[in-house]
Amino acid sequence: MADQVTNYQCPSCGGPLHWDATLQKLKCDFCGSTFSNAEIEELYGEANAAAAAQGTDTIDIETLQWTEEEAKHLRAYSCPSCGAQLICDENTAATSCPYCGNPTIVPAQFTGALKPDYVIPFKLTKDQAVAKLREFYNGKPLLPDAFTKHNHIQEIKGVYVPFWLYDARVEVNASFRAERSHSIRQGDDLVTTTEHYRLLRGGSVTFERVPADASSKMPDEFMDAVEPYDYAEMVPFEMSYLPGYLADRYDVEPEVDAKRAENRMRNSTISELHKTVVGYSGVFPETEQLNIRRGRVHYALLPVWMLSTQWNGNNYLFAMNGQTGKMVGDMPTDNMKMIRWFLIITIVGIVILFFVLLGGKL
Amino acid sequence: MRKLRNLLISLLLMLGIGLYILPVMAEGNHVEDEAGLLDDYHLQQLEDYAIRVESAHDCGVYVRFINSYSSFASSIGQASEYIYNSENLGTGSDHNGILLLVSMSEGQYDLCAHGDTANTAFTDHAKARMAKRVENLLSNEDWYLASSEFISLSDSMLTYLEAHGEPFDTNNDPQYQYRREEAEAASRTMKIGATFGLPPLAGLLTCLGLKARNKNTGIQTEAHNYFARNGINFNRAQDLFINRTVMRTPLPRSTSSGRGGGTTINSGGFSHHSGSFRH
Repeated sequence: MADQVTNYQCPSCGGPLHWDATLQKLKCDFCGSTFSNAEIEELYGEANAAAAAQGTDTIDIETLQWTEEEAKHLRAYSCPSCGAQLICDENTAATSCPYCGNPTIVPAQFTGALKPDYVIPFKLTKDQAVAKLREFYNGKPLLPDAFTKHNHIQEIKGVYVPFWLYDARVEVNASFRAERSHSIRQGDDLVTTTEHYRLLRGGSVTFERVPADASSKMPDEFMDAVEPYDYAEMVPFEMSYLPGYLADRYDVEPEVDAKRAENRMRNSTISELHKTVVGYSGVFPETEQLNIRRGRVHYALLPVWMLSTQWNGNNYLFAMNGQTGKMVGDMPTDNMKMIRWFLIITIVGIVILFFVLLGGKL
Repeated sequence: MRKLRNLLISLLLMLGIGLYILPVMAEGNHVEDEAGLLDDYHLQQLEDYAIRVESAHDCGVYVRFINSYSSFASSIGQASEYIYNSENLGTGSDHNGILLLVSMSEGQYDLCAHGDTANTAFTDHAKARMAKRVENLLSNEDWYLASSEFISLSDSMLTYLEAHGEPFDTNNDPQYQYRREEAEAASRTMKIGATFGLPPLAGLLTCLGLKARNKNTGIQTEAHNYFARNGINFNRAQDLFINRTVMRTPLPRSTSSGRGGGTTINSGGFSHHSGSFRH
């Protein structure tokens, strides 16, 4: 079992290595040495290949207290640094040892057909993610004061989320009914002349790498909301980007996610086509025919900081794009504050309108 | 005796010829029915009535039923003016008179007044009141009653002017005053409603907007960020002309008095009130 996972350790002192988002290199936690991905891949390439060849093992339910069904979805590994047993989800590809804290990679999750095509490395650090969360609280007057002052970040983790990126060409043919009107005054009458048209539009729109998250653990509304990523910084996948972060392999098949991506492409195509209909006072769609020609599907790991906080016994989840810093979340509302705002606006409004509309008399 | 008898016969003949000729002349002047809606008897009744009113007030009262105003002008108002001028209608040097023109094809009518007396007596408000009653009768296809009512109302308006020294208008129409008070009361009710209804609505909308700021997650429905370079290629664009339609709408008339009264007179000296009797 020891061969199934890899710890990236410093070639100088043997300390654990992790990806430094600021330096965009791997850095040793102990001696501070830094290494490029190429250097580390060269050192660990063979070890990773050997570990991948071992595959992953299910755990022995005799010795642990899981049901057969639970055990089916779990994997057990031994930490190469301290020897402790790591129990992970069947999709876990990168984690850290809860005992010695060393970043641990499961190469078998990312080899062969499971190997991602691309990765966007983390650019923002944990501290920046926490600072962004504080910023995120600003400009939200209905947020409970206690939430911003006293809540504590329960958990913050950098996660490489698996995404499918879809290429496709959408062919479209549409017809519209349109009219153009102008009015002139003739004597005591207003004469309105309306010209009626039938408009035909067609063509195609090519999309590249429309994302859809491929992890069932990640809420879709959070992963969609942290978009977009800057694909210019996307690089071919190497395992050396993972140390220090969590990563899962995909567990949603590309065919399943394709529906979501294609729906987005369809909507954007129609919306762009509508922009070509200009110069008319009224436009009414008649027919729309769309045909999606699927292209390549890419598999990529994209960086997300997941933060969770607790307030009033409830958990609140936030996600931040690990590349751009875009923060999204779902926060509580202070009902008393909302009532106060409502009353202030209502009373001030009534007083103003009482004098403006009613002249101060009922 | 013979001379006296011949003179009497001559006088009777002249009177007879005069009595015969006068209505014929008037028939062409006061009430005409190109659309064939009225029988001779009713036509004559109306003609006589119009002549009596004209004689009493020195102001012509005319009714015309035509097939379509489009043979005369592009709007019913212009058609009224055309007929009024071309038939040289009206009395006195400024051609005082009022004309009811009914155009059957379009289902429209126009009340058109000309001259100082007519434009004074038939204020916009007066014409509107007359039009309302005439329009109801036209809608019921009571052509005779509509014409008779028009002549009767014209008589009333002219009589009112002579008796009071001022025309029937918004300031002396009890029904209008009542309605104005009613409208003012309704307007005040609306203002009170707005004063106490709008601020809570604004408060609610603001609170919902502020609450929405606390949640910015959601499923994406567009893929605008992922267009390929030069990936938008709409190569078919045809705009096919189908037809052209023209709609003519009477413009709302402005009033000459700050209180909503008076008469709006155009550059040709005419004032109008038009409407449709087919709804």
